[in-house]
Amino acid sequence: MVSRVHGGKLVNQVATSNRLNVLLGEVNELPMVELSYESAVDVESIAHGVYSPLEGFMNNEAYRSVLDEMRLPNDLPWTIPIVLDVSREAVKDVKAGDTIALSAPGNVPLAVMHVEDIYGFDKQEYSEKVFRTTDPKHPGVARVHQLKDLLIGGQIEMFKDVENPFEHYTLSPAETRVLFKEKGWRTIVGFQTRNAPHIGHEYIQKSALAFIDGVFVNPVIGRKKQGDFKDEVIVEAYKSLIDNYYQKDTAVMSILRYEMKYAGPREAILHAIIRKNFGCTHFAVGRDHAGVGNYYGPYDAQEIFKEFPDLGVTPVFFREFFYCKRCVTIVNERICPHTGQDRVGFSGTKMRDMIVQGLRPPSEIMRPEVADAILKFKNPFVE
Amino acid sequence: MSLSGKSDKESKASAVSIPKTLLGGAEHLMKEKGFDSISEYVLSRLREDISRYEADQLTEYITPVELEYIKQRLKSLGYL
Ligand SMILES: [Zn+2]
Repeated sequence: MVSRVHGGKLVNQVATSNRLNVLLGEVNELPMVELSYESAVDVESIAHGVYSPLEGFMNNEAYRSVLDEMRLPNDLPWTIPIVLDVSREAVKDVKAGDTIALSAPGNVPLAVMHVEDIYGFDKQEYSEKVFRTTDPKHPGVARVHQLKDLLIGGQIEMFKDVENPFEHYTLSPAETRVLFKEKGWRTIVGFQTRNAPHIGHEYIQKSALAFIDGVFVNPVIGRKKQGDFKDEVIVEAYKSLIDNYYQKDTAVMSILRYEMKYAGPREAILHAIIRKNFGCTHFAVGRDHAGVGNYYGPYDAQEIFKEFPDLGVTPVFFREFFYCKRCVTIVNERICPHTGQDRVGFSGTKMRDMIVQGLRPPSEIMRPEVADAILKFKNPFVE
Repeated sequence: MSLSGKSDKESKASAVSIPKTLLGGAEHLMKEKGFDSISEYVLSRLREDISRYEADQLTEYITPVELEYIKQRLKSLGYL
């Protein structure tokens, strides 16, 4: 028993057999718009139903509704616009009703789009509403300002997957749904991450496993900030953790190609919807989920779930875990009465410094096998 | 007790028996949650759960051929 798809129907916009042949025959005659790698990956996610019920990039009505109401025009929860930006030049001969070809970088055609509308948008307003700030230092705001001036909405049909260095670790929602069912899981908690796992992450997942059948670890792979773990490091580190420290058939990892927005609360809802589409019945939300710097309160991303009783996926809220010298175990602030120097937090900076020096962080902070998997890489961090 | 409830179609379609031992608790919860009858309360819970969980409906969007293909891929990747 997996969760119901968001909106009720798993979207599949991948052209097959006859339709595929028709599209391949037509595509070279169509005006072509070249996408960024990130947008090309969005095309693939839409086509495979990761963003169900979206069948394409949002039109102006959906864009406005998501920005203003945090819902699609049909009232379904949706908090971050999924949009395709284009330059005026690229669409100067394109109008509503046209069909255009979409290509990955390097002019590799991968899909067609049935254009519904082309519209301008206010980047300041977008930033204010989605990120709760217009500060250009916020990485999400900075990214929005890099977008081209127009957005183009419409249904897509994909005929070619985007090049994927992690193909062996990539599963579509249809595949994870079959997988969870085959494993006999009735409840599944989705775990979003963009980090190699330390003991704190493991405790969140295992606390959830105390009452949920399986954990779906779903690291985000894609554009990263300098100093973040490299994608391949995250994958290897998690593999090592699951192989060495999880009961067989309680954890599954596959990657999600997705560009982090750092939109905190609004992004937490989107992350939950995506995992609902993969079949998760629950979704773990920790401290400062999808946050960056000090733009959001530590538990804002948990609070926002109150506004979506109809989300269809149950959030599981966690306080941050740490090691307590007096409890002599991993605890969090709900269960440990001690303070100050007794508590050893999982400082990312400290772990990073040790790894850069080729050292294993202490075993109460990171599993030695995980540390070794990371240390196998000459430089595990994005330069 | 059978859930005859109001004369709506659902209650005509099928009756549900609730053991006496649960009845007191059910009446209490129904009032607490603002329902007018136990039928309404049970139906609301049922609707909520149905909207939340997929009851073995994979076949609605996956053909038998696709299902086999997916299982093969999951096996070859070591997931199954
Ligand atoms: Zn303590």
